[in-house]
Amino acid sequence: MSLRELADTINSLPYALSDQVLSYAKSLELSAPDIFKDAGIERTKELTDTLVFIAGLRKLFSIVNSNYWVIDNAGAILSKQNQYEVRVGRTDLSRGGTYHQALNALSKDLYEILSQHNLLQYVQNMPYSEIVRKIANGH
Amino acid sequence: MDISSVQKSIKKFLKKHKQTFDTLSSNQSKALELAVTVGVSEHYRSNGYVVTVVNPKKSPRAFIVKTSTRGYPWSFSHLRFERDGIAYEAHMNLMVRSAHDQGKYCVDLGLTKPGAVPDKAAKVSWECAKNADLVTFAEVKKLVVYPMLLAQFVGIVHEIKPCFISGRLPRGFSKHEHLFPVLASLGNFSGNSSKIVDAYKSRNVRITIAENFDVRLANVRGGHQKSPFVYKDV
Repeated sequence: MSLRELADTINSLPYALSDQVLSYAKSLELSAPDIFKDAGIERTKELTDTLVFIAGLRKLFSIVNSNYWVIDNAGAILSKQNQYEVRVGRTDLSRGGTYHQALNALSKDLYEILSQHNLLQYVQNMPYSEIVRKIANGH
Repeated sequence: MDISSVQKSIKKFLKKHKQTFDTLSSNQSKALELAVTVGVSEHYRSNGYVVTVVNPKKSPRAFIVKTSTRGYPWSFSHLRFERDGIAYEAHMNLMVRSAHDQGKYCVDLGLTKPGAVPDKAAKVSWECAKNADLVTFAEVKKLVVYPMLLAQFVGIVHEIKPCFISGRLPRGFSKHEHLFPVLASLGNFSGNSSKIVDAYKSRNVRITIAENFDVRLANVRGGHQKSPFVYKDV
């Protein structure tokens, strides 16, 4: 899974988001020699491509999660001050509003997909050197 | 790992939620500006300030977020922090005068003395808050914290509130437990940026860098942290 294939996988994302995912994956690819060195694993093209793909997924997961949690947390905190409706122009950012619910569904679906493929551990807090060791050992 | 199977699942997922991703893309910055406003509010509350939301007269029940330089300030919500009879106001996307010249800047969140920003249409058109009325401010980015972003923020502080880069703090600043100018970011430290931030203290550069801001806000909500700008167990 090269960067080109990662780009193909996420090509239905809006440009601003796919750019965030690809930029992150590219920066990870640049750091790959150091990551493999830290992991004590010999670098191969196949392992590097898998690592870059996981990095792209990690960024996608982070975009989805952070947007959901920002709205959810801000809404929860504002509700302590009896503020339940939050608007930006015509956009409703209220907790429980349409957008918040859509982000919740998005977050749950992605979580489920990553769990099904046993990838959740890789996109959360695992250091990349540990990911390299795991994928090198056939996980 | 069966990459092609993961690839298929992700493609299907992205297609299913295309509309939400389109909305997310256009709302990402708005949500972040709301987050920093709430974060600053929680910081002051955790320091004993009573926080009051002041909504515009036209929408008294809704918190209206200002996310650009456009629009009159009285058409948007602001926050009022009060402790021991002294009050401050937090305004989103606040226009403020430069500390050095007649330039005007827009800060994502500005903490001002009360009355620095009109709460209704004035007879003379309102341009910006006076520099002396601005106590501190916050900027927010959906980026990783990289060295040139830090340099850019230091430049902003130099133009707007240079006392935080060199010189003495304003009188009463520490006593009132104000925040140093804040750069909040969704990303983590990249490259050698954490080394740059670590050195600020010894250089007497008084700014707060709040990386991983979404995680910090979640910690406040979960009761693990009182202020998103101060890592402290509660």
